[in-house]
Parts: sequence; structure tokens; C-alpha cells
Amino acid sequence: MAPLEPWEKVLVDTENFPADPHGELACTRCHGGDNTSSDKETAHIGLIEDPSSAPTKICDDCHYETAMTGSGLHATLDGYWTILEARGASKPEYDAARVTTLMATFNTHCGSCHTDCQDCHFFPPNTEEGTVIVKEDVIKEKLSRVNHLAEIESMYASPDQEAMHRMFGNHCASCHASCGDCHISQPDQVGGGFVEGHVVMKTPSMSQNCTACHGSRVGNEYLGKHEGLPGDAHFRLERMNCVSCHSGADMHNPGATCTQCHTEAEGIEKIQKNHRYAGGQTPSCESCHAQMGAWNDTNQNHLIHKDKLACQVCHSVSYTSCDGCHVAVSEKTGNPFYQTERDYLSFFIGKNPDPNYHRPYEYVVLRHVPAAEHAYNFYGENLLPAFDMKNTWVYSTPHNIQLETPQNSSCNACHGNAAIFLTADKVYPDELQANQSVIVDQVPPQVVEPTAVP
Amino acid sequence: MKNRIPIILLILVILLTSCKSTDVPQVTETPGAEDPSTDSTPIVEGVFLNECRNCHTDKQRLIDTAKPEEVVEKESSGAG
Repeated sequence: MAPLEPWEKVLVDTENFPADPHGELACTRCHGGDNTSSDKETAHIGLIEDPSSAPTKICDDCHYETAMTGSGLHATLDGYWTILEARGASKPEYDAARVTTLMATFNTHCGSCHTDCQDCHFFPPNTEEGTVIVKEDVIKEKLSRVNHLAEIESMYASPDQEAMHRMFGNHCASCHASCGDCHISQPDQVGGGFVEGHVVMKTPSMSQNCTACHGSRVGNEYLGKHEGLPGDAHFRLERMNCVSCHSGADMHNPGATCTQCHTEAEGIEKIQKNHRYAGGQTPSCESCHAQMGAWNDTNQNHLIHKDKLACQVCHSVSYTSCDGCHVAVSEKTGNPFYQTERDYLSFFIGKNPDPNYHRPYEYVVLRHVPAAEHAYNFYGENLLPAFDMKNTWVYSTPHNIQLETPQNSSCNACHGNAAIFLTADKVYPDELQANQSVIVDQVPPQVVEPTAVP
Repeated sequence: MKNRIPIILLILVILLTSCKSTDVPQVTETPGAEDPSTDSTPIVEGVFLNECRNCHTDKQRLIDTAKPEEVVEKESSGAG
């Protein structure tokens, strides 16, 4: 995707934008600034470039229903924290600025409740004006019951939490997507700029929004950009784009469908919020291919393997894995950057690390994520103290689905074929412990191929 | 009768103005305060006349006023 020229990024479409309901609003309604000045510098004083981002989040003013259900991981990035915390990191529970403010205004706050000075202070009569005796024993007794100062102090992030918070802000947070990043502009990672002259697009552009971020893996696989590997059948044969499967409802509120059948008490909503592979499959293959594995399915392989294998085990081909990501801030430019040691195409079937109601499969396909024990050493030592608690070969749903694949060409193309199973010898020695839950100890043995019916 | 017409008219005016409802809240105009949610600037052939749009719909003006983009050295490497 060619980068846009600077003028092109901010050129408003004179024909279509005024026809958009958003075009009826004053520019300053969302962007601030001064719309009476013809001088660029003056007009841009107080300008809010992306008013859909925090803290403004201007879209919420009108689209409150979407905002209320806007718990999508694109916005919250909770999925990152779920994994980081599984590896022993923790995030600050409270905003640092808020804690500092509480400390600075402690006396003011306390004074509003403790209005009777004589509870804790004694003003002896017939003494010099201003003489105060502090009732130490009373204060001690009160503090034994509740110590607000200590409570506030405990809200400060620990040094490790603070370090992770800085790392997250510099690196992980760059993947955050605001409303505007999907519906108005290209994401910053690809240089930004309006997609359709500031027209608010109900449906994001596949190439300029979705794969602008999800390009190196999903985009390349789906569009067939790896030499020798065909693009996804849904694209090659049906020209389906991202939103054909990933609906707006799923993007804005991935937990919505859970509550149709489950109560909050079951924790469905909470689970869905924190990881993209938790909760119901949105979308699931069966949403369209409902007959797969059903009583009237004529494909014996579906009936045999249903619920034992994720669909991708039989129907995906090689996909991208990465190793050893490390992040830092450049001494030269002051910009955050990352380096991954290598990326490569592979296809491995492994054990499902987290079988659940929605994903009961025994086997799934696994991708190596670029997690590394010392990935964040730039920010502090040992920030992932429980690195071995989370697998680095992870449940994956490659976007290169094929009807026919090497492993489903016959029963024994898979059964007994150790090359396509994640066995211990294929795992880095220092990651063996982390991947115990997904390593295949015994490759499913060969079977007698059914005789073809003449 | 001729002399009575102005008097009758005056009485009519008084009666009519006294019938005006006092329940309707009066909108007090604050000088300079405008509804920020809509663009009150006039429209000429579908294009709003305000300085934001004057500039951001003018390709040449945007080219002339654009700050040269810094070429940022790419320091990240590998698949992101």
C-alpha cells in the first residue's frame, strides 16, 4: 500500500463529506481548534487530531449504544494484558496521576469528612494562641481502623508495574484502534490519512484498515502472498472480505452473543472481554457451514473428527510464526522500536491448550508467537517472572483455508506423520516447560485406509 | 365614531398582547454563544464556508501549507 502524500491525508471530499451526517457538524465540534482563522497555526491551536481516541472519545456522545458495548479488544487491548499477566507481569491498578492528586489533596479530602477538630486535637485553655495538643492515642486508634494515607500509598504502582506500564504505552498500545482508525482514517502504523476524504465509512476498508494492521500474517495468508501457498478459499473463490465473517457486532461487542444463552454469573462476558479466543467463536466456521458434522453430513471425516479437531487442522496450510521479539527505545531517535529474531512459515498440529465449551477440540493448529522471557529487559529485569506458565506455541486460526490440503489428502497423510505434529524435538529447549500443555507426546498412529468404493 | 377607532385599536392591541402565554420559557441569547453541534456558516453550492473546510478542501492550499514530512528511519525489524 503506497503511503499517502501529506495533503492527501487531510483533503476533505467536497462532494461526499457534506452529504454525510457528520459533515453537517462544525469541524470544531469534534476537532476543537479555531474555524474562524485562515492562518494554519492559529486555526490549529487546541486541535484534537483524533477526537475518537481517549480522552475525548467524541463518538460516544452520539453513538452511546456502540460505546456502551464497545468492549472490543481493538479498543481495550485487554488481550495483551491477559497474556502478560499469565506470564507474571502485572499492570498498575490505578492511574498514576490520580494517585498523585489524591496524595496532594489528602488534607483537603480528609478535612471534608473530619470536621470536628477536637476529635483528634486538644486546644488547652489559658495558653498561648495556636497551642494544639495532638491526641496521639486517639489518632493511633483511628488509624488502626482505617488508614486512608496508607490506602492511597498502596495505590502507587510498584517499580515493575510502572516499567510494564511504560513498555505497554510505548509498544503494545500502538496497536490500539480508535473509532476513527477503522471508520475514517488509515491507522498511524501505515502513515494515517483519510481513506475516503473524511467520509465516515460504515464498513472499514479491507486493505486500508483491516490488513493495514493485520497484514504481515492474516493479510498475507488470506490474499495468498506467500509464494507457493494459495490464498484463502473464501477469498480466491468467493471474494469474501473481512467483514463477510467479522461483523460489526462482533467487533464492537464480542460478548453479545454469549448472553443470548448464558448468564453473566457464568462469567461468559468477562471471559470474552479478556482474550480473543475465549468465549464463543465469533465467527465460527459452522455459522455458514452448519451441515458440517451434522447427522446428514455425507463426509465421514467430519463425523469422525467433529469436536476432536479444529477445522483448521484439516483445512489450513502453512502460516507465519515468529520468534524472539525484543522492544526498546532508540537512543538515536528516541522512538520505540521492536526487533523479532526471525519469522518463518510452518504448520504444526498440537494439543489444545485450553479446551472449553466453545472449543472442545483435542487438537488445534499452533503458531509460535514472538514472546521471549527477556523481551522487556530494556524496561526492567525479570518483568515476566512466570514466563513458563504460558505456552509460546499458541492456538491459532490461520486465514488460509483450503478444501484440499496435504494433510487431508488421505488418512495417513496425517495419522502417523510426525512431521506435522508439534513434538518435543521441535520446541526450543528453554521453552519446553512453557509448552507442556500443547506438545504432542504420541503422534496418532497410522490407520487402515478405507477402500474406495468403485 | 372616527375618534373612537384609534381607541378601539389600542384596546385590541392591549388585549391581544395580554393573552400571550407566560408559561413559555424565554430563551436568553448569550452574546457569542452558538450551538456548537451544527455548522451555522452559510452554504455555497454544498460547500460550507468556514476556514477549516476552506483549507481542507483546497488541494493546492494544503500542498502549499504542508509541513515537510520527516523521513523517519525505520528501526523496527521483523514481522510485527
